[in-house]
Amino acid sequence: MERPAPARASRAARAVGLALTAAGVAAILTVHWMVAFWVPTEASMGVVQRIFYVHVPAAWTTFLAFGISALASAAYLWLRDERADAAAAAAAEGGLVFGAVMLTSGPLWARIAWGTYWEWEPRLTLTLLLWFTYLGYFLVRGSVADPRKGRRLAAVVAVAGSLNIPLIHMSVNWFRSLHPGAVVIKPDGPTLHPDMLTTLLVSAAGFVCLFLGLLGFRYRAGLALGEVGAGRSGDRDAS
Amino acid sequence: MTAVLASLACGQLALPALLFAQAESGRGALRPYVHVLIAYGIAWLAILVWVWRISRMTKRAAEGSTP
Repeated sequence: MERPAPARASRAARAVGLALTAAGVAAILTVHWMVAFWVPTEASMGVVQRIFYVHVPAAWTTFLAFGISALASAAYLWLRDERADAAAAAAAEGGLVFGAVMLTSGPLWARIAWGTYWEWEPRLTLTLLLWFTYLGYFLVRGSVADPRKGRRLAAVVAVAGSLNIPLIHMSVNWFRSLHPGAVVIKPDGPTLHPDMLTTLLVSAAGFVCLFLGLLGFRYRAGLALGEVGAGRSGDRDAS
Repeated sequence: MTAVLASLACGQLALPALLFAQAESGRGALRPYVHVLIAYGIAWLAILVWVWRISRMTKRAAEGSTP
């Protein structure tokens, strides 16, 4: 007997999620090998520069996650579709995870390269602000008695917080900054050693695949648990 | 999910051994390696915590949907 269409779609989504997660894990394990044996050691900073291959992909994944959360939040504010809210919450949670990786790996690198774990300079400060903004997203969701109102306020926080992302990218050009400028995403092309660029791109692909795979599982679990609350169709009417 | 956790754990256990095998001698020379290992360790730990949280949510959702 043929399965109903929603069941088939759910199985297909689960298979895609598993494939992405497995591809992400495989790519990151490959990066471990590349970092240990293959990629050249950077001349001025030495071995600590290898943190680059976890720090930068974590940063890109964080911005992707918060960007998805902001887009889904905007869709929720416009359409009041609770699936958009569930996607926004799942992406924001992933962004917090990868953001924590970025915000801990950076200071470990800086301690050796700069002689200090932290400097209150523009890029670092704005990035920390971004992370706390999305932490606030979850606090706002949970702190309002009416869950629908909480979701709407949180969506506004997500959209407003995302305006910080382009500012973080441009901050090293606009302000005097201790943080190095872009070496990959720049108008005249990457200025990295080709082997370093390859390792970085494999790592970035692994992080993004792992994030997208886990995001799918997190989204479906959130929806199934009714995390978005009751009244799936009545939200627009209530507002 | 168990396979994902096992793969992540293997990766995290392998990297310290590989990097320390290439380290120069002397306490000061090892310090950057320690920072690299901690950075990669925290990355795996954060991802594992998220995987664990999702797996717990998925399990709860499955239990909730059972009649």
